[in-house]
Amino acid sequence: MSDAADTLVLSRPQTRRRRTRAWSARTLAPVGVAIALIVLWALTIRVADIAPTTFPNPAEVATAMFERADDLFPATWITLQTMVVGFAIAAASGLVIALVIVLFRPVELTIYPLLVGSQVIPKIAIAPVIFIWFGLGSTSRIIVVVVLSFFPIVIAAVAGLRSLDRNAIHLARSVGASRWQLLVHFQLPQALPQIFSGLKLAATRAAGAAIVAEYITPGEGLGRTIFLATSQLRPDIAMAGVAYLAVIGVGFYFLVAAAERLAVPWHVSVRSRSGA
Amino acid sequence: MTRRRREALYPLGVVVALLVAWQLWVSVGGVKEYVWPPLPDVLSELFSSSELLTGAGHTLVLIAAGFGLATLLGLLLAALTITIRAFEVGMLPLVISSQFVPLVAFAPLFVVWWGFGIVPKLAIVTLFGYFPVLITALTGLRSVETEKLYLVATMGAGRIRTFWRVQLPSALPSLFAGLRIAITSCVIGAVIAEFIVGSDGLGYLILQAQGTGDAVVLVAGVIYLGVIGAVTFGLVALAERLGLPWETARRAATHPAHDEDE
Repeated sequence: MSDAADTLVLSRPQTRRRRTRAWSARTLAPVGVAIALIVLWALTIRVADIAPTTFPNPAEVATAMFERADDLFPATWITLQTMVVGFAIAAASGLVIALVIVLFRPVELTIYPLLVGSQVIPKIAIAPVIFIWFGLGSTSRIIVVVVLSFFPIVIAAVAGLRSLDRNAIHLARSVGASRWQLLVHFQLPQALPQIFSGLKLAATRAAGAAIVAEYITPGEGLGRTIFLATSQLRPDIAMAGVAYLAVIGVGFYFLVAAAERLAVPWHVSVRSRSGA
Repeated sequence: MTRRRREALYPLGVVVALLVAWQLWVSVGGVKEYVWPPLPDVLSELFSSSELLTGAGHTLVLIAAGFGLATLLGLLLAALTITIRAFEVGMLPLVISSQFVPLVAFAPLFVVWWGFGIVPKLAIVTLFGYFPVLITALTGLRSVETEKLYLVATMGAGRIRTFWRVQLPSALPSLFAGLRIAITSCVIGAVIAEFIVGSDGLGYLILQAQGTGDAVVLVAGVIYLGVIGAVTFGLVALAERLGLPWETARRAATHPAHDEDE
């Protein structure tokens, strides 16, 4: 999903000068539309005379973001922790399992088809089972995040590790590379682009998973704050909470994207130069 | 073929081994029933519970309607993108950026706006499913050969007819790839919608079962949802096979990776 988004956002090859101009137009236009939409939102609320308990205007949401910062900041911190810890566990275990699948044929034959098949199953459904086993606290919420972000990472990593072309394998073998050297010097570097597209997808999943986990358990975090605010007919606080969540969600995604830039600079530059 | 069939047995073996381990764990290990129920209890619940069956019906209706709406919305946005330049430049980047934000966060607000009926649930499912349709439809619509567009233009076809007669058919193979992603997203969306909006459906039932500690209903409900996920995905794959037989044949005949690249 995010990889498709990348391809679409990035522009066609152009001369440097035209690229800069096209870039600014491409950035300014959506920002302009976003501002226009916010103005339209404010006007609609005023003209249609909608009560703030149903749909607040942008100013009320902005006010809530500042006035409720004392509640929203700690809640955001808890959600961020759930997201990041869950994502880290999913990334580490996902990569290890992908390696095991690629290296050991019996595991590939038995476990991998199940992992692929499980993609069509809504894994969020086992969240209530997790809550029974591990209680209603933060452990369970982290496990929900792990379960939901684990699968895209494994699937992408296995696809990446397998995608090595035959010529490279023959070359490595002919110069006497061991299985281990082949893995470290050929397969892993070549798999990095696909691994990162899996990680980016998982990063967006992690934020959603953390919020859903907080919605369906009594506890803490941004999800709880939003949920309580709506039940108290304070959609302004709820939308302020969504704004905080958007900040950490987008921030986390771009952190992973920045890591990609550091790890595979050649891939990112190739992708941005090739056409949309 | 026989080799492929033999290889399909391995994962099945793992599933059977897990089921046996489950039963052993419960009967020998003495696990409490509210933590993990005995296999026979779950099986009898699966085939006898009218409550779960009605819930599954509600969930299926929600998935079907939401998937339909998501497809329509995705196609509509794709059509707007390729026909209106201003929409592509101004709106599309916003739609794409919105994917970095967990939109499910809006779910409780939907309840404030639209109550506890099917409307907020449909909105959540649609929100989960429309994006893959939009992206793959765009990829497909843009892959139309320019010559074809010139041809129908010289024959006097307007924008709308060009869309229906030329662009949409050429986009179908790519679009179906998106529909396969969308249907699984819609199933996830439906479960979450029933968790949060909660008035009926399997999501509501399993969350309730968690609250009351009824592990039998909980596990049976999860199995129902797994089956629903597999069956709805299978239906979309079947529709692709029926609607685009040449595409399925091509994919089976050639190596997919090589074919896409050349």
